[in-house]
This record gives sequence, structure tokens and C-alpha cells, in this order.
Amino acid sequence: MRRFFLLLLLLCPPLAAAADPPWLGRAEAARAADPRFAAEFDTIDAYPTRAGFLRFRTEAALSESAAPLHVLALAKGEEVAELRAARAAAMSRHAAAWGDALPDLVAAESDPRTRALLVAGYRFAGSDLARAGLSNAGQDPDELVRLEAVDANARRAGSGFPELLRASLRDPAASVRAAAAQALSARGDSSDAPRLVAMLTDTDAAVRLAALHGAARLDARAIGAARLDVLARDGDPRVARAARALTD
Amino acid sequence: VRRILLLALALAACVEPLSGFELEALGLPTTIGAGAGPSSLTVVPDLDDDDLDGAADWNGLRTPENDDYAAFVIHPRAHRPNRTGQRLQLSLLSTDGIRVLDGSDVIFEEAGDAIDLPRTKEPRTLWVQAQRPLAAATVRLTRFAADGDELEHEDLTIRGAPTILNHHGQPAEAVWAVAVDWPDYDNSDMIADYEAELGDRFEAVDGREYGFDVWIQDEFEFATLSASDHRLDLVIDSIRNREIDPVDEDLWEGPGTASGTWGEGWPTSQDSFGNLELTLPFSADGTDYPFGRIYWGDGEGGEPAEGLRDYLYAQGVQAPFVLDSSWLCVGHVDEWMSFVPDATAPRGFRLVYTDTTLAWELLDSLDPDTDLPRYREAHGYRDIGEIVSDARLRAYNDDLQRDYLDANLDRLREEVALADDEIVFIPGLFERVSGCGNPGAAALIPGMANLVVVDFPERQRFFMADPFLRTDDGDRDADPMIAAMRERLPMADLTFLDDFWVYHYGLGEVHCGTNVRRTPDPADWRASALLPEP
Repeated sequence: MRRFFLLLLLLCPPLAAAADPPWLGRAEAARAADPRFAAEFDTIDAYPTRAGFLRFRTEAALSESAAPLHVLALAKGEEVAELRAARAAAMSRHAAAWGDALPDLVAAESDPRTRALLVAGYRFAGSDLARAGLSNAGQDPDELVRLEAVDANARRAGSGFPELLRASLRDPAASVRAAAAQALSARGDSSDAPRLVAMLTDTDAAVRLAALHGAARLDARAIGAARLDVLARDGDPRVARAARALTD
Repeated sequence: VRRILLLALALAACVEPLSGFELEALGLPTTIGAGAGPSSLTVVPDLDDDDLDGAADWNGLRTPENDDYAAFVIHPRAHRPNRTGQRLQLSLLSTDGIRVLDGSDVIFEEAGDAIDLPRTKEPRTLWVQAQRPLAAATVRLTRFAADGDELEHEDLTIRGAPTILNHHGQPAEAVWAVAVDWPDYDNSDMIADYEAELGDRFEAVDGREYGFDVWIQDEFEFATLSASDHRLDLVIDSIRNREIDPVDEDLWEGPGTASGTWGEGWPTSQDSFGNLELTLPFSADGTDYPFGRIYWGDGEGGEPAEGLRDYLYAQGVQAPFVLDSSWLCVGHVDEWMSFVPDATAPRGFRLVYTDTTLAWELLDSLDPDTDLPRYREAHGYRDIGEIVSDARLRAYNDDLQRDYLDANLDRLREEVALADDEIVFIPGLFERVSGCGNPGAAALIPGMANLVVVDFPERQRFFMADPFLRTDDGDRDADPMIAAMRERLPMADLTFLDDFWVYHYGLGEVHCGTNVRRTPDPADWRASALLPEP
């Protein structure tokens, strides 16, 4: 009997595999529905930016019609990381429609930069998807992915997740803590001011600076004259400058 | 009485200063010395290949085609005392990259080389050749008594002209951009506009030949080396070494133009020459900077390569200073500012400087329902309302303004002694680039300070990015950002170029994709006079 099942698995791999996710079927259907665009899409390449990494440079490649085709290419995972990253950036704008592909694509992606650019898509994804996706991304081992999660969360139009930003204030990476402090302050909730004030003693100057600006944005009085006096003599000239400006 | 007169004449001849050197640089004789003390001579380094033999002319024989020499003349009056049995000697006291030729023969190449000058009634012309900028030598003309004692001498200091980077105040001679016209990478509108505006003074470089690398500013920096009426163009080739790298050899190298690379190692973004810019000439606090000052950014990759920095500092005339470009994803100083000529300005120039507060003021005043088709796919904003309501974007720009834009401006006020009326603030916003670090900024509204000055004599023009802050691509008159720019920059004709997909969305703008050869100031050869003694 056991041999029979093994033989069945070998002969019928689709039965053994998990069912295809719905987004994959939708993407394949979208490709099949417009073969002319698909053919055109297949000739589109990405080109180096001034920073060196690749980006697609036509409106067509960044359009909503192109998003499922990028999704399909990413799902195959056969291209080099630089090109996968460019596809992730291109499709991320259309995560309102394709956000359900993000969790699987992020989970399967080995390149941190591509993962980060996929996570950027949660800026546009539906609320439940975005909350779960950003929460997972906040645990990613790569700093850039966690930074992208903060940025995407902060830039969601009117529906970010402050609790995730507050959690990122404790991130081991200074860049993530600084971005979270700025993002939290941009929400304008003065109850977050004490959290930012507590970060004014962070060991990293960029974090102290973001916290100082953020606290001032929410409630400048919460900083207190004594702390400002200390920060005005901070070893980092930008922090000292910002503190002196607040004192004046 | 006759004997007394003869004796007096002989004595007078003995005490007459040597006054032996006359200098000329290729047909423009200049008498220097004549008892006025030590003389100096600037020579353009022989870096180019006038005789087209495939090597810098310094390395070959002197040929008629080679024009990178300077001459000095031993005046016949230097021989007058010889009737008393005195001897006249010319020697090379010291040399570092300078040789002296008599015709096509090298006579002095090492310190200590010397010749006795036979008496002649004719001026004797000798030629000087320099291996590199700042090469230095001292030639001495000495009169010896019959018994061998030195009676007097006269020195000629020779300097290889320093490298002077061109600035926006110099007239433009030729403009280049890389043309790409593939369906998925197409800047033909921008190229067509350049051609229409500049005619045959613009040349499109075929992007297919150079791997579609459109960032021609980043790879090359034009400089000049001058001596009297002679000039050599020097293309400094970055260690960036991306696909556009061979253009200097293919298009520019040859008689009158050389190229060279300084620095080594793994290139960072800060080694690109959008991160190597200049002020215009100015004076401040008693110091003249007649060729402007160099500035570059200290970014995520640090400063430009040490070898290049050392080279530029060593030139001694354009006193580099450093700005903070670490807040930018690309990290180049041309991303937020440019110095431009303006005859109406107190010192003849103004600083065009990006200001985010101005941008918010402008955007807040506009109809939030204004569709922005270009921003939809590129930046994720469908209309002006989505930009102005993005609290995170506002906080991000406010912090950049305080921490970097204002701080860099303070530095510029200090280094260039800028007065308020010498600064033109223009509206601009930045956004964080996904995949870059923090802040990792790049222009959200196409960066218009990232501009090119083309000041052909008859008309001064600034070429800059079209901001596309409008619904109808074709209606520039309806663009409030363009209107604001025209109001703020009345000193030039502004040409807005569609750089959106190839450059702006590639994290650069018009300046990044353009290069310009410029005419040096006729007085540039005096730069060597500013240098300390070798």
C-alpha cells in the first residue's frame, strides 16, 4: 500500500503539491487575456539608475497591466536578483490589486533587497494584508527589509499601524529606530511624545536627531529645558544644532 | 680721457644686471626680468597626442605638430660682458618633470645639466616641456669671471600649469548627451530639444555604443590647463568606469585634449562627477578665488577617491571644500544646488538652492484634485492632494530641510561668504527611495537645481528638468512649478527638458546626463602665479 502511494505521488506531482495560490491563477489569466501586451512586455528591459541598481523606465512597465506579469516573473524566481528587485519595485505600486501575492513572494525571496522592495508594496495593499505583512517584515533578519516596513507603514494613506511603528522604536538597527521615530511623529499623536523623548539618549546620533525632531513635532514641552541643554552640547553637530534651534 | 671713458664703460658693463631671459609662449613674447629679479614661466603639460602617434607627446620626440611648449630666449645683451673674458653658463638647478630643448634636442633633463653659451649677437630660443601639471624646474643663467668665480646669476622658475576645473561661468563650446531611443528606454524628446536649442553645438552620443549608460556627467569632468595664449583641455575620467567610460578616448582625446584618471580602488557613488562641482569665481575676506572653488559631497561611500582628492588639493588654486551628501540615495552635490552666472548679482553669480518649505507653500496653494499622471506610476501619488496629505512625506522633508539643506547652506555661507541676495531658493521635494537606506533621499519633484548652464555668447540658457506638476503633459504654460521657476530665475532663458523616465526615474536629472566643454578665462594661465614656490 505504501509503495502505491509513493508511486501515485511520483506520477501525479500536482496532487502532492499545495494548490496554486489564487493570485497566481489571476496573474496567468491576466497574461493570457492580453497576449499582445504580454509579448510587448517580454521585450521590456530594466536599466541602471544613477545609483547603479536597475529600474524599469517606461510607464508601460510600471502600469497596472504590467503588474501581474511582473508577479509571474517573480513567482518563477529564475531571474537574477537585480532584475527581480526591479520587478518588485515596479509591481509594488499596484499592491492594492496584487497585495495577496506579497506574502508568498516575500517568503520565497532570498535576496534582501528584492524582499525590501516587495515589502514596500504594503504601502498600497489592503489593510489586513498590510498589517500581517508589515508585522512579519518587522521581524525580517535584514535591516533594509525592516526599514522598508517602517517606511511603507508610515506612507499608507491614513491607515497605518502605529503599534508596529512603536515596536520598531526598539529595533536593533539604528536606521530603523530613526525612521520609526520620524514616522510615528508624523502621525501627530501627542501621546507618542514620551516614547520619543525616551529615545533622546539613544546611542546613535541619527536616532537622537529623529527623536528630537519628532518630539518637537508632537509636543516640544515634553522634551524639557534640561534635556535640550544637554542635547545642545551633543557630540553630533546636527543634534546640537537642532537642540539649539529649539532652545532659541 | 679716452682711457678713462673706456674704463668707465667697462665698469658699467660689469655691474649691469644680466637681464638675459626673455620669455615667450608660442608667438607671444613677454619680456620678463630686465633687472626686475627672478622670472617665471608657465608651460602647459604635454599630456596630449598632437602627432597622433598613440602616446602622450611627452613620451615622444619633438615634432612639428606638437604645440605644448613654452619658449625662453637668451637675450644677446647677456653676452656683452664676454669681451672681458667672462663666461656665461645656463644650467638646470632643479627639475621635477620639466625638460629643456634646443630645437628638437633635449639639452637639460636632470638637475646639474649645464651648457656654456657661446657669444652671439642673435637671441637664442630654448624650449620647455612639462610632463604633468605642477611640474617644476629652475633654470639659472650665471656669469663667471675669467678666474671662475661667480659674478652674478639670474633664475627662471618654470611651472607646469595647474589643472583648473571648469565652472558654469565659462562660455560653453560644445554640449553632449547620450541618446537612447529604444521602446523601453527613450530620451529622444530631450535630445530633440537640445538639438533644436543648441544646433551644431550639441552632439548626441549614440547610447547603443556605450551600453545605454546615459550618465555622461558622472564619468567625466572637463578641466583646462593654460599658459599665456595656449590651452590644453583635460578630461578627468572617473574611476566609476561604467559603460560610457570609453567616450573620452573615442570622442575627445587628440590634439589639444588629453584625459587621465586619478584615484583607484572600488568606486563608490561619490566617485561620480555629479559629485564634483564648482562655485563661480569670487573674493572673500581678502582671498581671491579667480577660478572658483571645488566642492564635493561626503556621502554613504565617503568622499571621492583619495588619489583624486589629493590631486585636486595639490593644484592649489581652487581650494576644495566638502558638503554633506550622505542623506541622498545617490549622494551627489548636483542633486540639490548649482552655482549659476548672473550679471545682475553682486559678485556675478547666484546659488540656486532647493528649498522644501517653498515647495509645500506652492503645493498647498494648488487645487488638490489636480491629477498628476507622471507621478502616479513613478511615485505612487495620483494627484496633488495625495502629496500634501502625506504626513510622513512632510515630516521627512522638514527634517531633511533642517538637518541637511540648511546645514549645508550654512557651510556654503561660510566657505563662499554668500550673502542672502546671492541665493535663489527654488521649490523642491524629496522622497525616500525604496531599497536605499535612511534617509536615502532622491528628488520627488524632478530636481530643477540639477541644471546645465549653456552660456553661448549670444544667449544664456539654463536647461533643467520639466517638473510635470500638471495634468496635461503638453501644456507647460499650465505648470505652476515652471511659472515659479521663471519668476525666480529671470537671469536666463529656461528650457525645461523631459528627462522624466530615463533620468528622473533613474535618480538623476538633466545635469547628470549632460557634459559641456567650456572656454577658460583668458587670464587662466596666471593660475600658476597663485601657487606657492616649488
